[in-house]
Amino acid sequence: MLAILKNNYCRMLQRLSSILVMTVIMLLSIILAVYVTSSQQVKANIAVISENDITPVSSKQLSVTVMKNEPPYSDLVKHQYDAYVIDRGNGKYYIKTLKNQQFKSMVLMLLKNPHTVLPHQSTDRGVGVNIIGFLMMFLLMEAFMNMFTFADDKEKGQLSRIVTAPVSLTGYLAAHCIYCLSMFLPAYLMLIIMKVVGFNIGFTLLQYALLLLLIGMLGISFALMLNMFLKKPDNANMLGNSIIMLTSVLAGGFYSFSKDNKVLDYIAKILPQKHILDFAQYIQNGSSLTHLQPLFYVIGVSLLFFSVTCIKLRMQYVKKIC
Amino acid sequence: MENILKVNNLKKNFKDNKVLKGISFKVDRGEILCFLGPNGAGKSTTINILTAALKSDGGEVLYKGSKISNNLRSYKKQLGVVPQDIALYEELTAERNVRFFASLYGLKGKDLIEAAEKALEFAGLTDKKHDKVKTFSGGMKRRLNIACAIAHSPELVIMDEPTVGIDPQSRNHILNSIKKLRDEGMTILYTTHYMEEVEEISTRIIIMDHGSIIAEGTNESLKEEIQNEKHYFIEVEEGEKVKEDDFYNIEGVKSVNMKENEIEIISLKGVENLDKIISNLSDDDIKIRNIASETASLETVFLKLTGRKLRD
Amino acid sequence: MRGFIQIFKMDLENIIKNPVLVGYNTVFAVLSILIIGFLTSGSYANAADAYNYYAVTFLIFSIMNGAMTATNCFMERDIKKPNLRIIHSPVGSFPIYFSKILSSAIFDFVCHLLVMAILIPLLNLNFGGIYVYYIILLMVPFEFAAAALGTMFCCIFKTEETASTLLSTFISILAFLGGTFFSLDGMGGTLAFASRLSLVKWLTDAFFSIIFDSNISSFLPLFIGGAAVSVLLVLGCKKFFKTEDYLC
Repeated sequence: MLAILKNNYCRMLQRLSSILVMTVIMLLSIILAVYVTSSQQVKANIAVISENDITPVSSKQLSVTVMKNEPPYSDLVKHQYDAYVIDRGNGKYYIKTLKNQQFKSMVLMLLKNPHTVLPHQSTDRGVGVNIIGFLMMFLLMEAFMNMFTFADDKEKGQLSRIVTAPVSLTGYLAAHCIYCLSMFLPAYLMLIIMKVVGFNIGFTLLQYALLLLLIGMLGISFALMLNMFLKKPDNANMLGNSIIMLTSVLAGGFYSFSKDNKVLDYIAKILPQKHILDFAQYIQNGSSLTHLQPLFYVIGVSLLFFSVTCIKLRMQYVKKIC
Repeated sequence: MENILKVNNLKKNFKDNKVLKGISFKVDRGEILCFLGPNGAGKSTTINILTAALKSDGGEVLYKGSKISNNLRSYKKQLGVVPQDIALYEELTAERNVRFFASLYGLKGKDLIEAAEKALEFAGLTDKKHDKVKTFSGGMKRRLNIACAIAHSPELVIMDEPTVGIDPQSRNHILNSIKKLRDEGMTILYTTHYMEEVEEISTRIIIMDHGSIIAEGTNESLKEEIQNEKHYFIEVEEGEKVKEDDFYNIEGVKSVNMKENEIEIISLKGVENLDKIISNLSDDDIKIRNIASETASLETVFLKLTGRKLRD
Repeated sequence: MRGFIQIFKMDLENIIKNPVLVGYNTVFAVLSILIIGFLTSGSYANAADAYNYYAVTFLIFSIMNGAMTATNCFMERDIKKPNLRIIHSPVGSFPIYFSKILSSAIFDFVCHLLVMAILIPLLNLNFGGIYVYYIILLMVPFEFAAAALGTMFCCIFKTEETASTLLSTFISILAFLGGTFFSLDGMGGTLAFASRLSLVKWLTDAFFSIIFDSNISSFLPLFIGGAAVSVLLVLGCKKFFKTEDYLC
């Protein structure tokens, strides 16, 4: 196993440029997560159309731009503004928005009383959860990227040689897993540096280690399984990255969707990424020890992927059943 | 014989490494010219320059008297290249592959179809023309690889190790096909590491090493000029009793090598001294188990010229 | 010319026969739009607005991802060697990479038109009515540019894996900054500024302007810009594609 691990590190050197790019992206995503958390306070960006230049309301929860003419409709569509507020004078406002009635009511409430304390939104998240949410997709993609060691072995025939050697298949796979997991160290290192420098990163380093381990297990086992079933690594990569991207966004990695949607709830319950985020949320709330179910779910799914991989590997390479 | 190709003082450098040091040779129409050389000798570089895929750093290549660089397109139309790697679209059928590559050389319509049929027949793949290449064995892929290069009936075919890793039947078929191509008037440049192939098909041989041509000629002339020796291999029972120095007193004996119970004696050709060698052994009461003799083979010529040291 | 046509036909055939590429350019795009549109529709008064936003942004994202079609078409492991065998033929090296660009661009364009043709009536999307032709025309130079970018990456990095990995990262960043997944416009000065650096953002803004404001002022500059970028990228391919890099 050690020999395979060493070999993987040697092979990694050729792909250093891709690894460095991925590392930079993860750093940027952490920084972005911290930034987004700080700007969560602003609930709406509005354009107030008024003859006066003076901002009619000053609120930390509203970003207000005063203008004389209504901006183009496309600015509403592309969310440059969440609403156009036409000041009709005497405290009367006409709100033009694409968003729902709930949002309209919120804007109106804030216009009339800027210091209104809005109820906590289910979409609000702490910095730790945001960091995990932003990092998750890239970490999963990184697991795929680093699984090239196994994918190449399978495609180019080295796996056939390894199977005939006195090497345990489980040990062989474990070496690839350990290698992939170790490639998460740069991301972890960045979190350490940010903590040392004084940034609020939300969780303790130990908590981050656990969460990164969880994400790693999921990503690695999924990458192994997909590479086992698909003949070409390129196809596995393309498919894997597409699935990761879609499911990570679905699970609310970057943006937490409203929980009023029953279909969303149902779909999200299946996604392991959602469970990772839920567990992160429980850690943030200090109730992780009493809510271990998401943790077990993710571990269970990862073990399932891993088991399927082992079975397929044995069937194909040991028992020679295609 | 007409020169179809003439190479004058060809040079090529890769950074500080002089890969070709000014080689010159010619290729006659209708011959099979075989290139031999260890790894790193410069064979592939030479081939790549001849196919105009690589530019030289000096010298010239003349095709029918004109520089190939003056009319590259016209030259390439007369060229067929069988690359060392199998370069075929595996998801497509054999027929589709041949037609595609032939179409790049200007063939179209009925001519294209007929040329593809002929090439497939030549390769012995007519029955498999509608099968996808990924279902082919290694030998079949190699044959198809050749078919794709000759479908447009080129004047000059360059084959870079076309029989690597295939079974003897396929190799035999390929070698016979190459001889047929020569009989039909094609000129063939052939690189290989297999001496027996060269001995079987070559009209002339060029041996390269370290970017230079170190020998050139026919199979027989190379063996004659360079090697005028005979090798005797005598297996004895008590090797420790053998006195090597005694053999040097026998006329014609050039060198004696003792390895355990086997004596290798290199003697001049034309000097019949086997009886004296045997007599020398029996005088010392040494029992002989086996005697074998070997005249110069292409392999021994090659190894003598290029050495036995392993190359990178 | 005839040689080029033969190579072009072969490349197109190779792309069409690759189910992953077909799926990636059609099914993935449709699914992404449907799923994310559906998920975010709850915060809109009219659900169609959510679908509309993501239809436009994911269409642009798919156009950019056309670069991956090109890398696959050029240097996917199984077809790299026969593709490069053409070096020895009399067609020259220009058709080798240019046919990849053209075939990928055409394939992607047709796929994306198909996606539009399915989703517009299905979700009752607004693509500008008669102005949809401007959208379709504006897609052309960018489909070509994306394919040229993918091909150029292959010429530089010589392997599909490296080219694809770097490209997908690059495109994901552009897409994120451009507001594909969610708009950064309302997220404060720094992010909004960063967003404007992305080509995806310019295209998104242009598309929305044309569709919702019937404003075609950005059409011509972007069309010409896209065409100019395409030409530059093709020249880049010419510069970086060296036949000797692919010889044994």
